[in-house]
Amino acid sequence: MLIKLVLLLFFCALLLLASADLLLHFAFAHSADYLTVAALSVLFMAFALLAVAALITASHSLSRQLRHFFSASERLQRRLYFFANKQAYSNELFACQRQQINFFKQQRQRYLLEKNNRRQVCALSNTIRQRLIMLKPILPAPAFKQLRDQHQQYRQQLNSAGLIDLLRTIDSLTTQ
Amino acid sequence: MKPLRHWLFSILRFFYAIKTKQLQWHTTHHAQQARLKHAQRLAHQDIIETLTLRSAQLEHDLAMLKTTHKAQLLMLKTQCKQDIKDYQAYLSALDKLKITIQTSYQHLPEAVAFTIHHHAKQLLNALWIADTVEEKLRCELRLIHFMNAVHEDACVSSDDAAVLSSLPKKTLALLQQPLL
Repeated sequence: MLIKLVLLLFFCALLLLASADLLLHFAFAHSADYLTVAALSVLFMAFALLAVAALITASHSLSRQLRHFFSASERLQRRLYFFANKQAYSNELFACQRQQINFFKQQRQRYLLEKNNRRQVCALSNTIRQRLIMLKPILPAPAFKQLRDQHQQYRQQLNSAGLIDLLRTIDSLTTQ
Repeated sequence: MKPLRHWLFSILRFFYAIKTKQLQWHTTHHAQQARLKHAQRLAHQDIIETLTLRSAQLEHDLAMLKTTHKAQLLMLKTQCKQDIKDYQAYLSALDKLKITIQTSYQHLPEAVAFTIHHHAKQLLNALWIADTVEEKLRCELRLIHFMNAVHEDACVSSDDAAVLSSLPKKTLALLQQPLL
């Protein structure tokens, strides 16, 4: 309705301006001035009304959007999304916590294994050292040096299998 | 002046005619409009009820999920603790086994004793890293079988003084088998 009114005022202003132009053409300058002022006033009113209409429409739209946003169905829909997200988050958290527990378990197991390996390697190394000391007078110097280097290398690497093989080699040399 | 008045009246008549038509349309369709509005209201209520029910259901599911997760995590933690304890116990048992076999077979080369211990530890690690339950069970059976063999060899040695100088045959036979 307001838009119709604005359009009407706009056409009125145009008509008045056209009339003023016509009067000016027929040398009625005084009346033409009045008409122009009136036309401009009407045009200004039309634009003011248009601005008011825009404000009213915007406020209506805003209030409609707000009512829609806070309506029961929308609130419930948002609540549903919240629970669905919470469920997904809970599942993700659970998976992460499981992973964390398994990781700590593996770490603990690795620590225990390393501790045990170190103890065994230490025992093996002590045995090998004693054998090497016994073998030192019999073995030629390069062979002894090679065995000693191997021993040190395997000991540093905590290589049980290598140390066992070395002990076997030393045992075979002893029996020879 | 008369034509202008006539023209104005005709415009007014046109407006009144439009209004009358609008009124007639409203009168004829009033019942249908009321019915539609009622149906719309009912549908809206229906949607709200459905959403409320679904929301309550989801809330309940979430609470259940949280409880289940909590219980499962607690169970997993307990199981992990137990696994670590078992692993520790296995490692100590393997150490003891090595000492037993060394005391039972005093002439046994130390390399063999260490090999037995190393093999047993490899079996234990295979059991630990096994993915499936069947594989775990198979590895555990192999480890137990191996430990039994070592124990039996140690018992035979302590029973019979003649075998003191011999070797733990059962254990050495098992050592020849490939790991997995």
